[in-house]
Amino acid sequence: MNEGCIMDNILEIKNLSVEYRKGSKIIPALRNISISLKKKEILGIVGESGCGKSTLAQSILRLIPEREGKITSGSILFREAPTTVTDLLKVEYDNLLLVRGKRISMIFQDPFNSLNPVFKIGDQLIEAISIHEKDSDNPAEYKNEASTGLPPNVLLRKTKHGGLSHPWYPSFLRRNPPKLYPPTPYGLRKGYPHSSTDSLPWSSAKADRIRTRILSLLAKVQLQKPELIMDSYPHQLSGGMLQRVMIAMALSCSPDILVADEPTTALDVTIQKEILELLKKLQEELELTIILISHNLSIISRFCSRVIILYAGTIMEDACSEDIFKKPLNPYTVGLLESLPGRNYSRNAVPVRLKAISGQVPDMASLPAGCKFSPRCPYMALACTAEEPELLVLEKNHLSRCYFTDEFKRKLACDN
Amino acid sequence: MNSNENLLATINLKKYFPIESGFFKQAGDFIRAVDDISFTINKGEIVGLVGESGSGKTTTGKMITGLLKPTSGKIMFENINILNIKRKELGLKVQIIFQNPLSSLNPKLSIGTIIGEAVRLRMKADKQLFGKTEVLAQTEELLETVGLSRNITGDYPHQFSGGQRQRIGIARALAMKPQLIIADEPVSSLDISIQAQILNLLSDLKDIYGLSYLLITHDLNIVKHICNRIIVMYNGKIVEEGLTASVYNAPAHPYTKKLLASAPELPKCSVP
Amino acid sequence: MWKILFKRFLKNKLAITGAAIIMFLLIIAVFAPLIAPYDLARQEISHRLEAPSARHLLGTDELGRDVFSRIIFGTRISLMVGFVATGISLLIGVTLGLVSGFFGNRTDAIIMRIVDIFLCIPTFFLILMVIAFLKPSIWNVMIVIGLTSWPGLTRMIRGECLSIKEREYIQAAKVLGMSNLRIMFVHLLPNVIVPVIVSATLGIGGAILTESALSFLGLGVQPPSPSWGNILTSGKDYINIAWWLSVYPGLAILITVLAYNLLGESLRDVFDPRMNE
Repeated sequence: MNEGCIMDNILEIKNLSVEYRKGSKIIPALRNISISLKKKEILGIVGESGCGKSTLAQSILRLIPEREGKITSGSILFREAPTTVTDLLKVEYDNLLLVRGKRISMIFQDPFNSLNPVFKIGDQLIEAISIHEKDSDNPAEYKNEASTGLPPNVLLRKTKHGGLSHPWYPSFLRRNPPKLYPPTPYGLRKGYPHSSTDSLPWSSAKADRIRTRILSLLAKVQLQKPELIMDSYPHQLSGGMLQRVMIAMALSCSPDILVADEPTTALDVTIQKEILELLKKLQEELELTIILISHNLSIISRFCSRVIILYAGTIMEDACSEDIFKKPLNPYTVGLLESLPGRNYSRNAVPVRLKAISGQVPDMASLPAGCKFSPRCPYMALACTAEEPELLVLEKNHLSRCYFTDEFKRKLACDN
Repeated sequence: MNSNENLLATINLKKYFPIESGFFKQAGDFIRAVDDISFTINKGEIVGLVGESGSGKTTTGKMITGLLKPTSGKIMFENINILNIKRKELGLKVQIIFQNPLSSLNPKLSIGTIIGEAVRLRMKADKQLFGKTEVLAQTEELLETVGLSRNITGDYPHQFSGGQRQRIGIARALAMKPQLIIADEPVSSLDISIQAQILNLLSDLKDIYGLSYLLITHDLNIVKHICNRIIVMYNGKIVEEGLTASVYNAPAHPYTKKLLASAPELPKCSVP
Repeated sequence: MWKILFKRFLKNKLAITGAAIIMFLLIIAVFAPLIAPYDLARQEISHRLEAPSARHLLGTDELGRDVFSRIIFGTRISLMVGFVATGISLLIGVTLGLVSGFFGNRTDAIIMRIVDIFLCIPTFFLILMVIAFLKPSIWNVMIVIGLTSWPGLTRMIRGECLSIKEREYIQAAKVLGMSNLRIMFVHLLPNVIVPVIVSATLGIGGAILTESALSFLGLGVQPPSPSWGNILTSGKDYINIAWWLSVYPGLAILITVLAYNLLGESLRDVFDPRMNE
């Protein structure tokens, strides 16, 4: 494990193993992952397809449906308060819901599919806020609340005369507002601790307050004309704007940790840069801890302070960003860096061959014995196929999983 | 570089899509997907067509292969207007590689059929006598050229990974022995390690078969690595054009500058 | 590919039940002369309207003919009608659907308008009218049923075509320079055929019901050829005294149509399995 004061670690993942069930086969997705995340750190998780990075992101909040995947071992310790540490994998579901969205929130890869296309943006943001409102830790915002959970499906439209109006509702809906189930990526779940005694629409003061909060959130994510956006439907906005809305939703309850699962993969290059800069700015302002998952090494290099390289469900290398890119100590990392195009283009524009990693990502159902990268490793020796190497602490805060065969040592010496 | 003959030339190419509005479908406004572009591709060149989504680069590629008809303007292939070339013959000159390996192969056909069809079409055009054995032999040869095993002709696309499927797509395009290949984002949806393999394959094939490529992509690093010339598109127009090195070192247009600035600089590594 | 489907098929209990019943019926139809104890037209006037007994398993009808044998021979007619009528509608429907979906624009518009017109006319009355003009016979019935049930299939195929047409493998086929005919039947068809197979299987059941109804009205198979429908015709007059003339043919129709429905519904699951396994 990394050194560092225990008090600084806001999240600690210990020996996490997740496996998927496909018919009668059991396919491991994550094998004994241990990560510690310091407060205000930006951690980058890099890996190719099948390495388990999305599984990792979803496991933190237990988003993997029961019939598909099982967390077979490990614990995820979240430091909720300076003296309270909870294991997210063992808490009751109800308490997990208090953490989801509020203390740890997530943004996903495809902004076009993350928002419900039949509701306006404003409604969806209201939903996000009102779910966690009653347990809000932001006294400045909700100090005067004697609130119990409230129906979110109230459109806050200002009428011409300055008051607030409600759309027409059938009367039976008004008396018994539907129980709100927190939306999760896998559908609606029951059991949220939600009071059903409240049946009145929001008071106008409260509605005002929430409206202002939403507008300020949208402004914070650098969206022009927030009122217009609030009243739009998702299909009317571009990918970049939608992703900003998602970030606003994720930040609406001032979480401690933000998990970003490939947030810019579906966006254009220029928008990617803007979104990442926005995230960086917000991170500084709101003192967030961010976990950024991506397969794009350039983004990770620019943005993250620490990087973890995943391969076939295990950590191959874990180091600070500078070390990973300047002094990589794992053949897989070295291979990835060498296969990036554009680093050594020739002056007369004759294509230069890249040093590609041969072979393919292994099938998780039938992993090779020993080091999982050995079949593709150019520095492989016989010892590599016998048993999988441990994650060694090399220099300070730099871990690598490798046997360091003579050939590899020679290669590293050449480079340095 | 090889001789300077123009393999492909587009002249004032335009493609407008009408936005239908009104009850009687009066075409009101147009979406100017491609708005008056002209460029050339020479034999043996790899030209990179760069732009973001909505720039019109995919539409241009589709027009060159004959999938879309231009609204106005000409596309000349070896000085013959593409509109005057029948689809069958155009397929022998220009081929395409698609972005999404999942949907570029027919899931219900075996690999042997997918590539075999292309081989048959070429053999028929060459007026070569062929039977099942000849077609199979050539299919297996193509598979080997793109780095796959010879024995997969009975398998189906869903049994293969993205990178392998992309290779099968390349084999299919090669079977027609084209002179120009339009590669529409050929590696965007692949893993980094596989991207490098496919890029190497493409440049090897260029040397073996004397191909020319129009590489449509949004990834500037690939362009920097493999393309002789770059064409930058924005909103349907060409904003900059030139040799890769000169565009990179001295971009003239503000959009090119913005694009180059957004492409994150690769970390200065110790790995050469 | 087909092996996977076959395995899934074998696991699905409903599918096997339906298929088993249909196999059973097919065997009965093929070996009818060997199974039936009596000749289908043999009349024993002295034994008319006899209740089911050891001699006549399902009783006799008003002319002394053995109901059991007649029902067995009726199986032939029903199955034949089912297959031929559906075959005709598949042939027309699939071709028109592919042409309509692939070419689009005006061809599509014209074909779809024809389909709309057909779907507005109540099929059964159309069939009645046509048969009234032509001679009521088994072949006319089959052809007419086939000619009136293709519009639904066409719409279904055209809808699937519209979504698959833009897939990249179809575009690749066009760029290769393949003839449109080949693209339609070799590339497009296998990908759009799945909902059609399901619908066609259910349609066989429908065709059998329609034929029974027509025969019941006297416009289908003419006596003395037995069809489940026309046994019911005689049954309706003697319903108080000879219930077996109505019940047994009715049961036969029920079981057959049920079998086809089971098969059709479960085929949907075979081709498109859901995740709850």
